Amino acid sequence: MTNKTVVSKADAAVEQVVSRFMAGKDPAIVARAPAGAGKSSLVRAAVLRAAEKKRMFVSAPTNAQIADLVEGLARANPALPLVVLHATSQDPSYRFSALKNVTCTSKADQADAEPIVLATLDKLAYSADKLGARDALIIDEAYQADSAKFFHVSNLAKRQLLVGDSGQLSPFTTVDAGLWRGLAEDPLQTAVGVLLRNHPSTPVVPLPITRRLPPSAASLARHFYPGLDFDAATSVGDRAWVLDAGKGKATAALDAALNEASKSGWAHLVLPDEPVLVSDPAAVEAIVGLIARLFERQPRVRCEKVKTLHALQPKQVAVAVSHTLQRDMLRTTLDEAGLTDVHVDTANRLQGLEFEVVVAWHPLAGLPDVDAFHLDPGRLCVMLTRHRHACIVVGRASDADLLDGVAPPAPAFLGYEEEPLLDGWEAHRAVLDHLEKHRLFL
Amino acid sequence: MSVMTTLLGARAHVESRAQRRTTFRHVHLEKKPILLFGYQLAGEPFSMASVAWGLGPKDLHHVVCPEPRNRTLSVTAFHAMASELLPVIDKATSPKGAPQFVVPNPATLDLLGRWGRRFAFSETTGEWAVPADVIRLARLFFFLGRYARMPGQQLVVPLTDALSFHWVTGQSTLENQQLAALSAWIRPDDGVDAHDAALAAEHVEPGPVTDPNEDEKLATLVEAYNLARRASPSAAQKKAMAAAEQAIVAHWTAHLQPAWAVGWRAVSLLRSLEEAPTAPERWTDDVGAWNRELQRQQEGKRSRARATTRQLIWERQMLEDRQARLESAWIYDDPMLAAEQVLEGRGLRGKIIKVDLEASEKSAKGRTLTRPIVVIRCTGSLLPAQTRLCWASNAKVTVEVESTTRHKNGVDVVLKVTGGMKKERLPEVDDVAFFLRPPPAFIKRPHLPEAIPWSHTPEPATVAPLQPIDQDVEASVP
Amino acid sequence: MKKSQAERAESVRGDAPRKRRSVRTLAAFGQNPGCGLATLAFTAEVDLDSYLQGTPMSAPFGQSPFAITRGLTFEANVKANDYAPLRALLEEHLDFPKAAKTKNLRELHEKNSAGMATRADETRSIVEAHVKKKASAPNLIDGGVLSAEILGQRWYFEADAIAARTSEQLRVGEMKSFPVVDGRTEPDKLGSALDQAATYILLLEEMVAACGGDPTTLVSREAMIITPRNMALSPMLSLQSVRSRIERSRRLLASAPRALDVLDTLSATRTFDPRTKAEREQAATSGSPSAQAKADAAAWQAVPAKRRLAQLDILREDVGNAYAPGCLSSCGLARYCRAHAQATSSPCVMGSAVERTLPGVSSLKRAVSLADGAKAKAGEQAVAQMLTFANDLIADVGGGDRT
Repeated sequence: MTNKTVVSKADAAVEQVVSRFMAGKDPAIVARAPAGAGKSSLVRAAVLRAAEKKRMFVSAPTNAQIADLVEGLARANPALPLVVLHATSQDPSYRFSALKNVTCTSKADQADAEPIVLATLDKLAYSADKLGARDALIIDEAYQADSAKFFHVSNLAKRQLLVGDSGQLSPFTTVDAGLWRGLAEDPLQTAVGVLLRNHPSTPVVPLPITRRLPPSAASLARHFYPGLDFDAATSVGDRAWVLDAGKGKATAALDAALNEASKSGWAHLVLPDEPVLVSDPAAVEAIVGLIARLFERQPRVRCEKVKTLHALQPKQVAVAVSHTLQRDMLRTTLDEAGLTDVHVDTANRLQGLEFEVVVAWHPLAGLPDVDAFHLDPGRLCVMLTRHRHACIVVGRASDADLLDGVAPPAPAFLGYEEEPLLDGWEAHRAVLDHLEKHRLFL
Repeated sequence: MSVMTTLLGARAHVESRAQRRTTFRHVHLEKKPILLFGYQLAGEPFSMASVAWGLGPKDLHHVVCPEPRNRTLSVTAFHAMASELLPVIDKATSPKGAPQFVVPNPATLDLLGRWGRRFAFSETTGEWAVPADVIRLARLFFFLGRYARMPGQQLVVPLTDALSFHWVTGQSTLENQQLAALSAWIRPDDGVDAHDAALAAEHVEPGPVTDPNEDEKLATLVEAYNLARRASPSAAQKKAMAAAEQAIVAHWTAHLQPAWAVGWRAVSLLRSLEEAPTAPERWTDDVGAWNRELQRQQEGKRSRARATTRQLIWERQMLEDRQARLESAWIYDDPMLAAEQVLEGRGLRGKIIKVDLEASEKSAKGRTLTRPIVVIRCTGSLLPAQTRLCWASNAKVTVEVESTTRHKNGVDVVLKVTGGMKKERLPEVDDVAFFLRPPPAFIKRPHLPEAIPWSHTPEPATVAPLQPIDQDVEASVP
Repeated sequence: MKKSQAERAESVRGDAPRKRRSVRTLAAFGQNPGCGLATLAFTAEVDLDSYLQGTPMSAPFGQSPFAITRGLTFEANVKANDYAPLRALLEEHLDFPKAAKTKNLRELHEKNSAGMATRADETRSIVEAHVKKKASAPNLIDGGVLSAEILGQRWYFEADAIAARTSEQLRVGEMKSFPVVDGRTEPDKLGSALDQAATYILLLEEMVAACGGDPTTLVSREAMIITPRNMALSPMLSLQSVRSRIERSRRLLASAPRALDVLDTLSATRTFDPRTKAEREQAATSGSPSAQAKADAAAWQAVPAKRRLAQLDILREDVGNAYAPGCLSSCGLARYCRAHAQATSSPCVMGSAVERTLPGVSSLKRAVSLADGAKAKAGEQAVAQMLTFANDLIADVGGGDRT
C-alpha cells in the first residue's frame, strides 16, 4: 500500500467505528463503504476487539460471505474459537479443515454455548427461537440484506454493527414492489434503510477508501456514492497489466481496446449503431473475441500484493451482463472457445466478488429506449467496480443517444426518497462522459 | 413481451385475427359467477355512482346513486346493494364454497376494495352510523381488494387480464384493458375486421371511470337533481326529484347495457377454453382463504387498514411463493406456455434420439451411481452445462445438462438423469419432450418473532389506530 | 425565440385551438421529445387535445367536471377561514407560528399575462424580503408566480403555495385532490405532482439567487404536497425530497430550446390550420372572452374532419411523429397517429417492448414474412432466425389461431 494518507484515513475510520462500537452507547452503528473498501477487515477488527469481553453473532446474507469472514478471522487469531452455524444441507467444514479453531454445526443449541457464532441471516432466522440473546450482532453486506431478514435476527442482540456497500443492487422481489414501497413497514427496504428510517440519529461512519479499485476506477465509482468521499488505497504505478504487442489487421480494434485498458484502466469498445436483440450475437462475438485475444497476448499482472509480474489466469477474468440469456450465450460461446474458466454472470450474482480484469456488457447496449431496469444505478455500479486492474465496457454507438434530453417521467412513493430511475440516468450519463476519452470503435 | 407473444401479436395484427397463446384456460370459472360492473365519479375514488351485478345475462340488478357525493344518499345506495348482494354471496358460500366475482378489469377490482375500505371500519351506532349489512359487505369487499394481490387468485377475476392471458391481439396492452375492444378483437362479429370491431367497441364503457364528455351530460342531470332535492318539500318537489333521479338512472342504464352484454360475451369466450389441470386446485385454495376470512369476521376479528411490518413480511413471502408455484403450474400444464419458455432460453424441446438406461458415474466417495443419459435433438437453445431441468410430463424426472453439440441437423443436448430413474418411466427414443426449469421447492419459512425489534420500531413511538374510522365530513355536496 | 421565430410559431398555429404554455405543457414535452408533431404543437402553443374534437377521432379525455369540482372544493376547504387548515398543517409539520401572515396574490390581479407579470414582481418582493430576513415578510403566499425564459419568451408559473417561517427556508407546496389512503397514493400522480413542485423550486432558487441570496440555504429541496387524507376532503401534508427531480427539471428547461429546431424542418407556410385567410376572418367573433372562446371552438369543430386530417398528414410528413400506445391517454392526436401506424403495420402499435424483440424489422408485416421463411436482409439475420424457430415451434405445439 503506497497511498499512505488514504490508508491512514481509512484506518482512523475503522478505529472510530470499532471504539464507538465497543463503547456501547449507540444501540446501532452503520459503516458505509464503497466497493472494495475492505469491509471484511473492519468486521474482523470489530470481532477481535469485542471478543475479549463479548458474546456475539456475526452474520451476512450468503454462505460465501460467511466462509470468507470465517477464514479471515481464523487466520487473524488462530487462538480464537469460532463456530459456524450452518444449514443442515450445507456443511462447509471441508473449507475449514486446516483451521483448528473453527468448528461447524447445524444445531442451534450446540452453537448457543459458544461465544462467537457465525451464520447466514437465514440460518439465524431459523434458529432464533433456540438461541439466547447476546451482547452484539455484526452484519456484513447490510445493504444487501432486506428489512425482513433483519427483522428475524434483530432481537438477538442489543448492540448492532451494520457494515455494507450502498452502491450495489437493492433487494428485489418477483412480485410488485410498489405494493409496499415507501411504507415504514416495507419488507424490501435494506436493513440499513429500515434502521435509519426508524432511528435517523444512528451514526453512519464512512469508510473513505477502496482497496480493490485502482485510482482510475475510484474517480468514476464516486458517481454511485453521493455524499461518500473516497480514494484508492493504491497509487498509479502500484499495479500494472502488460500484454505482448498485438499485431495483425484482423484484431486491430480489439487490440486497441486491450491496449487502452491496460494503459489507463478503462476502455469503451463501441459497436455500430444498429437495432439489436438483447442477446445480441455480435456483442457476444466481440466479447469472446476480446477475451480470446487477451489471452493470446500473454497477459501478465503485478500489484501491491504480488510485486513481480505473473501470468493472468482465466479465472481472474469476468464478464458482467444484465440478462441470464446474455450470460447463457456467453457461457456456451466461451466454453466452445476453450475459455471455460472465465467467469460470466449477471450483476446480481457478481455482487461482492472481485476480479483482475472485467468486461462489462453495457446495460443499454442496442436498446431502443430506456427503462428503470436498465437504468438501475446499482447494476451499473456492480459491473464497473469488480476489477483490480481494468474494465472494458462493450456497447453500441447509439447508447449515448438514449441519454440525450430528459429522463423518462418517474413514478413516486411517499416515504421513498430514492430515485433509482433518475439517479441511474445521471449515473449513466456521467459514466459515458468519463469513458469518452477511452472510446474505440469496432 | 416474449418472443412468442411478439410473433403472435404480429400475426394477429397482420391477419386481423386474435391468436391463441395457451393450450388451456388457467383461470377456473365457477358455474354461476357473479358478473359485476362498478362506476365511480371521476376524481372521487370512493364514490359509487352506479353498480350492476348478476348471475346471468338476464339477471341484471342495478343500483344507482343519484348524488354519490352526499353521504346519506351513498349509504342508502350501498345498503340497497348490500341487501340484495349479500344473500347471493351467502348462497355461493354455503356450505363450503365461495362466490366468484367477475369484473371487467383490474381497476374495477380496485374500486371494490376502496368501497370496502370506506365502510369496513364504520359503526352501526353513533353520529356516522351505517347499517350492519353495509359494514358486512364492505368488510368482504375490503378483503377481496387485498386478496387481489395473491398471484393466480380467482375470487375476483378481471376479464381483461384473463382474456389477454389466453389470446394475443394486434393491439397494445393498454388498449387490451378496454374490455369491449379486447373482446371484439378476440371474437369480432361475422364479416367484420378485428381492427374495425375493436375501434367500434371503444365507445362502450365498462368502467370504473367514464368518458369526461359523457360526464358533462351527467353533471347537468345531477345538478337538476340536487336543485330539486334542496327545494322546499312539496308534492311538486317530490315529483321533480323523482323525475331527475329517473333521468340519472336512465343515463347509467344506457351506459351499462352494452357493457353488460360485452361482459357476458367475455365470460363465455373464457369458458369456451378447456380448463388447465391445476386450475381447480388453486380454486380450492381460494375457497379456503374465503372461508377463513368469513370465520375471522364472524369471530369479530378486525383487519387493519394499514398492515404491520410482521404482516407485510408474511405477505411478501406468501406472494412470492404463490407466484413461483403459479408460474411453474402454467408451464407444466400447458404446451404453449412451455414452448414460450423454450423460446426465452429457459427450457428445451425436441426429439429424443438416444437413451442409455445403464449409464453411470462414480460419486465423490467412489460408489457407482446410475445416471441414465437422454440425448435430445433441438433446433435452438444454448443452455449451459449443469443447468438443471425437469421433464414436463413428469417433474419427478430431473436432469442436468451435460453437453451441447451443434451440427447441421440441429443441436444435440446430452442430459444426465439425476432423479426419478428408479421409480419413474423415462422418456423414450422418438418421443417429443419438453424439459423445463424445476418447480419451486417447498420452503419452510422461519418463525416470525412476536416482538418487534428496536430497529423496526419508529421513534418516537407512534401508534397507528387499529380501526381508523373516518368521521370527517364526507358530504361535499349537502 | 427570435422575433421571426415567434411570428413563425404564431403562423404555424393559425387559428387552431390554443393551449397556453404552462408547467403541464412543459412536462408533456419532456415525455415525448422525439415526436415532431407534439414538439411543433408545443412550440406553436397548439391544443392537440381539442384539435380533433368533432371528428370520429376525437380524444375521449379531458378533465371531467366532477374532477374539476372536487379540485376546487378541496382548495376552498384548505383555504377556508384565512387559510386556517393550511396554517394548521404548517404548524404541525413545520413548526409555523400561530400568527403566520398570509398574502393572497390571486384576488388582486386579472388572469392575463399583465396580471401574471405583476404577481411575479410581487412574489419577488416578498422573496427578497425573506432573503433580507425581514420579519414583516408574509409567511404564506397563495398564488405566487415564478417566471422563466423558455423558447425566448417569458413564461409564468403559478405555485399553489410558497411558505417560509421568518429567517427560515422557503418552501414550495402543491395542492392536489387525489387522496393519500393509509399512507399510499398513486405513483404516477404523485410523480407528476413532485415534478411540478421541483420545477417551481428550481425557479424559486433562481429568484433567490437573483435577489442576492444563497439558494442552497434559503430554498428547501423538499416539496410539500397537500392532499385529502383517506375518504374525506380534510387535508394532510406530505413532505418529500425532490433533489433528483430538480435536476431533471433543469435538464428539461435546458432541452426546451431544441423544440425550436422543429420549426426549421418545416416548409414555409405550413400551419395547423387548414382554413384560408378568408375563412378564418369569417370565423372571427367579438364579445366577452368566454363567448369568443365558445364561438372559436364551435367554428373549429365545424372544419370538416377530412381537411384537418389532411393537414395533419402534411405536417407529419414534414416533421415526423412518434406514436406509442401511451399517447392514447395523453395526446389528442393519438387516434390519428395510431391509424397511420396501423395502416403501415408499424411495430409501435404494440408498444416499445415489441421494438426490443423485433429490432431492425420495419413492420409487423415484415416480421410475419420473416417468420414464414422470407429471406432475411443484412441486419435481420438474428431476428429472422428467432422468428422462424418460434413459428415452427408454435405450429408444432398446435397453437396460434385455433380460435
